[in-house]
Amino acid sequence: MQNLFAGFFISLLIHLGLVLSVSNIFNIDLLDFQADYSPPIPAYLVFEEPELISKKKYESIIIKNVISDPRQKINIEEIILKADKEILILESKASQPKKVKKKELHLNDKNTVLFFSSIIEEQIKAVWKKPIASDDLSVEIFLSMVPTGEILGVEVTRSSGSEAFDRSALIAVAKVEKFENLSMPAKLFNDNFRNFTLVFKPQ
Amino acid sequence: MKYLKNILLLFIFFSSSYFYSQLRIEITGGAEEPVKVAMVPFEWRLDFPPPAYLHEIVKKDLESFAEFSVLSPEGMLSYPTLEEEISYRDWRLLKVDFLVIGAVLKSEIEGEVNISYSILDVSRQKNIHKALMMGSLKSLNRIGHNISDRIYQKINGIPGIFSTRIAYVDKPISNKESYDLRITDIDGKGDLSLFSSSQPILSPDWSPNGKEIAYVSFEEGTSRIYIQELATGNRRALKHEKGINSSPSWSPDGKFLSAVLSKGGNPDIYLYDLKNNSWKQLTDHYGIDTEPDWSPNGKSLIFTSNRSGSPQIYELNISSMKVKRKTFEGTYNARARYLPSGKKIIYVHRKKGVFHIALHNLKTGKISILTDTFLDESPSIAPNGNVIIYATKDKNTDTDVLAGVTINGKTKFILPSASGGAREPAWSPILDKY
Repeated sequence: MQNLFAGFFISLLIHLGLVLSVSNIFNIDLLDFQADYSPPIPAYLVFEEPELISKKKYESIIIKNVISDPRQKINIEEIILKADKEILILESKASQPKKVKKKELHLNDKNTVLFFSSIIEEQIKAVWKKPIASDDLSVEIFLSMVPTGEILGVEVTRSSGSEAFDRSALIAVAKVEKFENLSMPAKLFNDNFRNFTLVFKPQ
Repeated sequence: MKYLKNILLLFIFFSSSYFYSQLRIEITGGAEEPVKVAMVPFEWRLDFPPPAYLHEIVKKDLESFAEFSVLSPEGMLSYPTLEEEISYRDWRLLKVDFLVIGAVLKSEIEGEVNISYSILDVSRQKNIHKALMMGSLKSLNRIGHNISDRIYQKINGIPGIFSTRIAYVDKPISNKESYDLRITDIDGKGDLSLFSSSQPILSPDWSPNGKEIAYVSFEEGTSRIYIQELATGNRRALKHEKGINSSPSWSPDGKFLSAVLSKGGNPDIYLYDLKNNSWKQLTDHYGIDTEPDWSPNGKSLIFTSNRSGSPQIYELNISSMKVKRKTFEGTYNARARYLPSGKKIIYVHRKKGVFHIALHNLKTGKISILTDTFLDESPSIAPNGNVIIYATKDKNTDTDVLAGVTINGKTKFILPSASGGAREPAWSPILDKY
């Protein structure tokens, strides 16, 4: 019986509080709350920025697919349309803050790093003229890069023992000067590409 | 305590994985096009016109094995002589990797000139080699080859071979009746005879210092091994033994010769001590052992033997005297020679009835066939290990010629030779040490 009374009392208090607050007896300025609530829309837009890069990445992966399967005739426009649609879906999903966090993690995964590594590899390969008879040699070169792709520092960390071979690697890096097509999120860049090592070895 | 240990281990694990996580990108392939060198005409600061143009000699040298492309003066935007006059941007636009500039200056000595030159790395705008040379005005060709050698060495890390020479035997042909032992520059110039005989001459081999040549001559009716000094032309014979005396090969230190003697009844490999003039037997087998060659470190010999029934290549360890068979592919493998690294050998390999030159990696056992000519024999390797010269038949003219192939099998050439009976080429060591 006692419990019934207690329940009734608590319920009365709550209802009283509700009625009073609706009648604005505590003088709460509801407009203030509303003003605080309106900003989230632009705030979400700020959050979408990393998504824009994920869109780029998405495109490049599609291009890769086209290359890897030359037998199939694919209408590129169709692919782009399809990609746009999928990107739209991704974006709408991304407007929920929780999903954004997940996406960022995804960007840091191995495949993305490998993808950008291969971009770097291709650009070095195109200009590296390896000396004759460099069969068993290998040289390690430590690079410091800025987000624009520009190379700031070059250092031989493990020499091949052959002056000519080391030089050929340094020349290749000097010829590249600035890596192209390396636009990526700042975190991905800082974690992997601000400093990295190039290992030159012919087969 | 246990927890602490685990935490410590965990910490070490993560920290090590952190250090290893530093990104490493491996570059295995490179650009296909050859290194581009711009050879600016050297400034000629003498009162008379030059008898030869150094930049032309160097251009011809560097292009001979298709390993470089050399920019002609017509394609240049300027002709700098000094480092200060270089506009690196221009050379970069021309896609030049290395730039060579220089000048030929007056010398105080009559008939001589001084040559100063520099090799510059265009991409890093750096002087990588600067030299002053002195030489006779008459030997501008030699000076040119020497400059080529240095450029080659700086860029490729292995010595250039443009100053080296090739010894060969010229067989009698229709208009000539004698056997000639000759040496020539590798561009076919400066060909001269060392020794002439109406009887056969065989297997010349250079001493490691390049000052003497050992060879076999039948001038006295039987085979004998002789050593001839190049500077004086003096000849001396090794102690003669009964039967065959053949296939001399100098040890890398120049103190011994390995050769083949048949005084024991059948051909075996022997060692000749040049100090005591004495023979020592190395192999003893009832099969034929022949054509020995020293490994570059002087610790072993490779030779051809038919002890298994067909000619195959064997390796003899000189300290343990153990013999090991090296070739198992095909029924004819002979006349093996080590590459300067000692890790690979070349030999004559018969495939489908045709004789080719094969490259054999001693470590992996991988064999690659380098030539596609018909009757290839007696390969000899350049001292930098990058080019092989061998005797073959020119199908068009049906004459004996010396042909060459680079070790990657990509470039093939025929050595210009006056007569049509060239046989048994032997490549000299590096003659001008620098």
